[in-house]
Amino acid sequence: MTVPAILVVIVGFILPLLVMAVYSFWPTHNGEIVHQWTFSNYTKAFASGGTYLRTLFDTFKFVGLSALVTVLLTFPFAYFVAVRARPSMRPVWLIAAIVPFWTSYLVRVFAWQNLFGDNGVINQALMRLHLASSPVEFFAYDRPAILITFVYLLFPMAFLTTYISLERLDVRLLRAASDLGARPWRSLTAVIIPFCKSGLIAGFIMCFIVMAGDYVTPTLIGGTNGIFFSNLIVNQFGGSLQWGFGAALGFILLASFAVLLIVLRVASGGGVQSVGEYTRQYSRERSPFLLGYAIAFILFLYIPVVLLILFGLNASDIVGFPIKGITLHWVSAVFDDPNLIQALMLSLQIALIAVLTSVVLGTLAAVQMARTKGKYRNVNLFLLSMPLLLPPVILGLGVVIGMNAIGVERGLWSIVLAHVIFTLPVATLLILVRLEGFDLAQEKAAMDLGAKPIRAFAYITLPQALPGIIAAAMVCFALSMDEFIMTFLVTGSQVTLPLYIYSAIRFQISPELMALAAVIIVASFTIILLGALVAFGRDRTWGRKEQRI
Amino acid sequence: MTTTLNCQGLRKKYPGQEQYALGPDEEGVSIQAERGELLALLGPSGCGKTTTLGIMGGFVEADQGRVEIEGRDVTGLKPYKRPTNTVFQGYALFPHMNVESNVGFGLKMDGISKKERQGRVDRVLSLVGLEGYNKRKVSELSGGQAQRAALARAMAKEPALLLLDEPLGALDLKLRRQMQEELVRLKERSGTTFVHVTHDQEEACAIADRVAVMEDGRIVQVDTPEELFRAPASRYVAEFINAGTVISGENARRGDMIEVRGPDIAVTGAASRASNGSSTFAAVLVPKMLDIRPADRAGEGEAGTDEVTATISHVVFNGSNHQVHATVSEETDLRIDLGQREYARFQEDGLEPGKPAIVSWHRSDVIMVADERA
Repeated sequence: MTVPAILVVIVGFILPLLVMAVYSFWPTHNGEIVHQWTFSNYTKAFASGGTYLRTLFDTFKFVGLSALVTVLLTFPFAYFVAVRARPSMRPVWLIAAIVPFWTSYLVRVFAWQNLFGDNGVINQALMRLHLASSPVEFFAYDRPAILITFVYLLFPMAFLTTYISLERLDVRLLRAASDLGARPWRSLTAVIIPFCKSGLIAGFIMCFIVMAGDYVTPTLIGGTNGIFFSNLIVNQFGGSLQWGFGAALGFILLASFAVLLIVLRVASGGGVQSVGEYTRQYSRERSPFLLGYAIAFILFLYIPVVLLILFGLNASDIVGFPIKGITLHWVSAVFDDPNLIQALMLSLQIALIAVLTSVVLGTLAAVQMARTKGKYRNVNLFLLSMPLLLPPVILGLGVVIGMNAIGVERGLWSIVLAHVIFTLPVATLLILVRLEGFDLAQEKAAMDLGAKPIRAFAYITLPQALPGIIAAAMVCFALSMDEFIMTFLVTGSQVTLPLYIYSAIRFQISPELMALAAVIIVASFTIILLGALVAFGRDRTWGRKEQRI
Repeated sequence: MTTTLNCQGLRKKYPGQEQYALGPDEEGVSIQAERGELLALLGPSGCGKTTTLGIMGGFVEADQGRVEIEGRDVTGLKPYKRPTNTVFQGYALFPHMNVESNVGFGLKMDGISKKERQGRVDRVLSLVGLEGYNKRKVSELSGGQAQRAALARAMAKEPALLLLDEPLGALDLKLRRQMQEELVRLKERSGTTFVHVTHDQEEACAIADRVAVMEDGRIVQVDTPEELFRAPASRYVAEFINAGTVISGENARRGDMIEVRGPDIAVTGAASRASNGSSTFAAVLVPKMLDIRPADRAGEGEAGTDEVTATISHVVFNGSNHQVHATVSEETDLRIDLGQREYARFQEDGLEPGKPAIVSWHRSDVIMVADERA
């Protein structure tokens, strides 16, 4: 039953990558690919006065620093939630930290542009207070601004991986360490950090992949100082239509990723450790510092968003302070824009198809994988999660080049395919995680009691997978509605909601735009919270350890 | 008596494995169970007992052989078409349903009306002692209650054959003892045939009418628990059921009698019924049949007894008996079970750990078993 899902990955991911590999050895003349084997694309990338390589090196250096800073800043917060916060309060912290992650990436970048830009809130305030006569570069279109935005964007992801590894930490280990004479600092370096090392490294890798593949943030926040390697790649497919050269740059990025991943894997001692059990223990030691840190971090996460909403409701023609009153004028203006409504409907249509496909195929694949063990399962799991290991820029390029090779027009279906390539793995993994504790003997028991396989599935497996399926549908919906870079690459003339917002942001910052961002934020918060209620509201009774009296 | 279960010539090899998990010999494994009988399949992990149970329940397809239940050939039938129900290891209760829905699941699958279902669920719940637990969530059950619920679910359809896969493995000792008694009571009251898989020889002997001992995919002996202890078929069986201290070594025939010469002890006895036909024997000294007296009374034994000098190492009290451990030399550790009176005499004799003593036994009490490892 994994076959349909694997087919999607092969058609949408593996074959396109192969075509891309071939293209990278073909030259382009006048925007047309020429079927002639050559290394010229690669020699051009390595020569050209070193521009491309320097940008690659520069990108990796900056992104590596950003990922490191993100993980380091995340750690105290994750430690606080996993070890120090009371178990009954953990879901509150968790939801507070993760919810922003599922709201529009574009809108969140926009929230910071609103703060940082030349006309951003910070520069305006500085000038109004006569602390600066002209916009300060540091807060507009410069590297520090990108760094802060990156930390903001990827904090939830880094938090989640660190938190998951710390949640297994047995608090008694810390007591044992201090009993054996370790001071708090030594406990941290000798017990806690080694314990969650693999989680920290995984968080770093995930942040790195997303940041290095990001196109939006450097463009919107960084301006001319924000040229990343992925911008160079995308540019080859804009006006210049350098298919072969773009493909070669893509592979150089991929190869660099591969090297980096291998190095980190070796550094982390290979394999993910899975010791310890999920615990509801916590340390009763009070720590005002950690609590303050956690609250500050939550404020950092929400202030840009709150400002967005505030400006969207501000009865003033100018974006920014002072707040002259609350009005729904801008919000209603948003819904009067026919182009926007059209973009919204298109996005909804695409999201619906992508979600249905992903959830149905993902459920089949996850159920099958939950039933099997060993090599077969590992191969399937690897194939299905591969698209998530690559930056979306590369996935999008694969689809574009693949469609060019077979001469298919880009359009609605190419966008749907691009979305399914990454929503399907997400759906499969989420449902699989839900089924992980599922006792397979239950299906056997149902059949033993007279249920045919299809009824055993309907009565036993499906109801227990359902919260996972619903959560997967929600997450896939959010991802599809928000997807920018792949859509940007593979679209024909279609304008989805994120494409509409992107072009609007580039044009100018207006109160209408603030109102639109506010509407999107409120809508996605609502969907996420509803989804969380459905997924976690039910009693998680399965997967319980055998109970002893 | 009528035969409920008749398995003939079962063999099974799992893909990718060299050895047969069941039936390494060509003739395969055969076993029968009579109606109302509790048959225990006893053996260490990996001996093929769970595979055998799986073949009976239809979860594992045998490569060879046939399974008949109440005279009907069910070989190749899927689990949902068989008149068998199983109590799974770890119970496999459906966590998203309450007790009532779990127990009634099989009846629902059979299309039995809700009203009739209710009555039958109530009846089987009271049979296992879970009256009034209908609406309880599975997660709210204690280990023992979950065990009963799993039993009730398997019994609700009144199967011809009830299969139990290590059902008591997750319970603590006291509860396990209690559930063993209840299983026997349930079997008596329902008249159902039980096949019970376990690796615990005490459990098998406490509840089973007959025990089938398995080794490396073969059934090496099927007997009542008493017979199993009286005449283990081989050294393997004797060791697995812990019948006593096994002495092995060179054999010497003396008429009907055989002398086994161990490294530091010689034991003489008659070849038992079960082991006839074997060429080499090991001797089993059963703890209950041994006597111990002070070292200065050597040679005082009556006719037909043998003795050896040993050093008492320690004494273990198990709540009713004292078990004295005595070493002949490094090689042989003898165990002697003493009742209360015998232990009082042991103390009066001034015996205690560290002191030498004479351990003696009747030749007629020695069990000779085939020593396949010789």
